[in-house]
Amino acid sequence: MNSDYTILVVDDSPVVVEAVRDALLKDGYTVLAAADGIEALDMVRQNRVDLILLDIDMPRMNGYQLCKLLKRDEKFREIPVVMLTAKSSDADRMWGVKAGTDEYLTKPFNYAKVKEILGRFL
Amino acid sequence: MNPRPGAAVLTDKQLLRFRDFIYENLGLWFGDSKLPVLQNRLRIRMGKLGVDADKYYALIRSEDDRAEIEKLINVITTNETYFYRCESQMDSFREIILPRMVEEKIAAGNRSLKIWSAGCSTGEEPYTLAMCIFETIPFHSIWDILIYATDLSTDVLNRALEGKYNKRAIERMPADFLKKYFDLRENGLYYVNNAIKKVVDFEYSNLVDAYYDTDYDIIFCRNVLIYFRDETKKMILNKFYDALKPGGYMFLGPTEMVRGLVDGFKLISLKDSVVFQKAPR
Repeated sequence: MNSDYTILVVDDSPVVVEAVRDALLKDGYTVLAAADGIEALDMVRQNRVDLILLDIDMPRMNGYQLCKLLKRDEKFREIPVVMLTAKSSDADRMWGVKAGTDEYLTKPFNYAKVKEILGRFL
Repeated sequence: MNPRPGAAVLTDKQLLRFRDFIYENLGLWFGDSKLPVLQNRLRIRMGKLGVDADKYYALIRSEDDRAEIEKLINVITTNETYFYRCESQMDSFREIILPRMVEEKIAAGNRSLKIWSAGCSTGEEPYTLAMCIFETIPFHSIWDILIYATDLSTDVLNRALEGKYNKRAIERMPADFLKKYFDLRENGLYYVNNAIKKVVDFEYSNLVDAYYDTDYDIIFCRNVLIYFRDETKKMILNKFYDALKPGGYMFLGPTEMVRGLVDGFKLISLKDSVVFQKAPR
């Protein structure tokens, strides 16, 4: 059941958060949202999160930094991280891989692609 | 100044629009005296893409093309950089500050050293610092050494991580550094060796972000603050103040001063350079 899974959407753009949240809710997922890495870290510490959809350029703590922190922490390293970002160069992608991301998707937001990835990880 | 034939045209009005965009989105400020530099670099980038100023402005404003903003950052902020840049400052770090700090640490039974190279570009500065540390600390392998190196371009960070340089980048290095810390390969390029690479941790980070550790012994941020406006400079310098341990040191570019921007730093004159030391506020 999709409702058994909680997805954390991390993006500083309320428009993106709303779009992703709506799509996920429609499919029955439980959705949490955070506007930057620090807020997301708090959420991960306080809730059970099954997958993270993560933007990169955000104020306070960026997505690469959050991903690196989570992947270094044995309590959280198993949570799949999917970077969902407008940063589309090879260098950006490589940096995402180095930070430990499990998937790297570039915007514009393509829900079919996200769904396929959710199916793979959950 | 007339543009070169074939170079993209950029009116003053267009230039100011770019300046505002760059300031609002990246926090980088080009004061009037630096506008010709911005103009020149924008022209180079537009020329390369073969677009005019309006098209280019539309391109960087479209949310989908963050990649172009990254390239623009590279073009407008990349300065010439090389190993052992600002020799007198590096000498002061290596011969005065570092030995002083190491001596105090050994006396206190503390064998860790943490340095932040803020705005590290393609890696020449953090690698140079690592080499100076290896030269200065006896038995450095039993120390816990970390040089945290940050930049806001993944492109330069990837190049930094690769650690390969041409002859020009290494020509100011002390000759023995070259022998000890680089491998010269058949392609004529010099590769930083793994022992040095191991102590440098590169990370993507904008100086205006708020996430940072607060246990640094030394911060290097040279010729980076010139890109920010006074209020942003204040914010960053206060962040550096918080990030340093009590008594920690901050090296800025040779012409950069903090007066009127931040309290609590003591200016110390060294041979031909200066360093700022964190004092109680």
